[in-house]
Amino acid sequence: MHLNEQDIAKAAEALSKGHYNLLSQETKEHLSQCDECAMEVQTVSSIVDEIQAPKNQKNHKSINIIKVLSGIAACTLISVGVWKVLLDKKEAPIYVEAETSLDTFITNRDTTNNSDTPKDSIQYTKEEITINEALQNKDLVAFQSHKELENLVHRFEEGNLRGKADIHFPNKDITVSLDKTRMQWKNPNKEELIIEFFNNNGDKLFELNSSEEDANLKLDKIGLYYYKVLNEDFDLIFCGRLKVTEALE
Amino acid sequence: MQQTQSLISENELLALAKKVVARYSHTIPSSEREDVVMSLIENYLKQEDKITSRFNNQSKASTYIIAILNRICCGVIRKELKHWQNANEDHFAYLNEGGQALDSAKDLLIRDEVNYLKKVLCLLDQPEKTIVFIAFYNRFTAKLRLVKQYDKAYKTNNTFTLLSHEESLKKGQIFERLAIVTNIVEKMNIKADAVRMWLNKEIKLITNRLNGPFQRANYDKDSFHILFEYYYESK
Repeated sequence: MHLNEQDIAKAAEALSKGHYNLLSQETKEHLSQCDECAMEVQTVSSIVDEIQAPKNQKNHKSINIIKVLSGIAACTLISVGVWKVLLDKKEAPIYVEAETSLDTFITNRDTTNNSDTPKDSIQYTKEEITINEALQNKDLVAFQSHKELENLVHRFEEGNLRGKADIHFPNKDITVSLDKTRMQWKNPNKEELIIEFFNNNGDKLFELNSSEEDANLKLDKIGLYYYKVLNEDFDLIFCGRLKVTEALE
Repeated sequence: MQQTQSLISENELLALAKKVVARYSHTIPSSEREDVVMSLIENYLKQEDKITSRFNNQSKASTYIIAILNRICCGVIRKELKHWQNANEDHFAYLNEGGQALDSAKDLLIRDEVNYLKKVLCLLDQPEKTIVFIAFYNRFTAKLRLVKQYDKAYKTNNTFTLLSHEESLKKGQIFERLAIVTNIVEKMNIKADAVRMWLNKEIKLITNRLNGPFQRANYDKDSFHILFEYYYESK
């Protein structure tokens, strides 16, 4: 007996989202044997993908200025540390706790730093940006965080490193520039590792297999990236954040 | 009779109907497409109450409606296809010559076809085995991650080494090697011929599903292997 439209829709969505294995064994068996139902599921899934694709691009491309400003205003009320909000000609800096995926801004400045100290010598824990820069800087989209990957990064920041203890990746964000994209880590026993790289949309860009302790990365756009480290048994042993900034030279 | 609330607005319904019809542009002549869209909407609205009452939230409403419209569209095509073929010979001749690719940018078309192939492979009985076996048959370099998806105990079984290609392997030996791998991994006792028959059946099934419904494409064994190569490179 063929699948009804609701079953077809459910299977198509599962296929589009990569959750096909979660369908019932009965449905999967039927689809492996029934060409007609399989082709329906394939077609419906393709149409769903087509409809989703422009929406995803739109979400990432457009910056809703009103939402950003509301987000900044809301976040300053609940952020920890010193902040102030104004929009005068001098463009005083603001501090905002990154609460939602729309907010890419900064959090607390290192309190030991003097505001008169030249920028280069200040050890910022995170970047500093003004509201006008925020409104003008289209690269903000490139530094928006990805919710699910951020959660994964936080888990490993809390010290949940799995696997062998002698493999070390930096606990804090790695920052490289466009002209120097070398990444380093500790792998003294030359364990075979797979490192997957994702952009801040959650799209996998590439992976590299390495038993070394460094690599030059194929990243040619500034922005926020994530990387996952898998051991040879494909267990996830670390997830971290990588930022690519403008070329220094 | 109490009217159930509509799942979708008329504008959204029109947009989805157009998307569904566009999927069958290889079958529905351009002169007929608008009529088919209207036919889908008309059929949907006639059964709207029944459709709405059957929706049980196991998927998004829009996906469910796409499935409904797709089924209605297939019904329309079955009914009208012969008539279209008689009245629009140019359209079908163009398609039969493989002309459909001319209208699309090549990269976009390949990407769409690779995505479609992914779906076809996903619905198979043993997709991991099929991918690895077709790759070996085509003499592609074995990929550790794919081998591991097929055989979790790949280290003990030495599966990756067995599936790493030696240039000197003849066609007959390919199936002998695949039989060895099957017997180790799946604890069976089959011969090379059984593997050859299984693999041919899988490739035929995949090709049928790529070409359907309503002859959306004209893949044969050779063109399928080319598409598979693009797919495999992306893995």
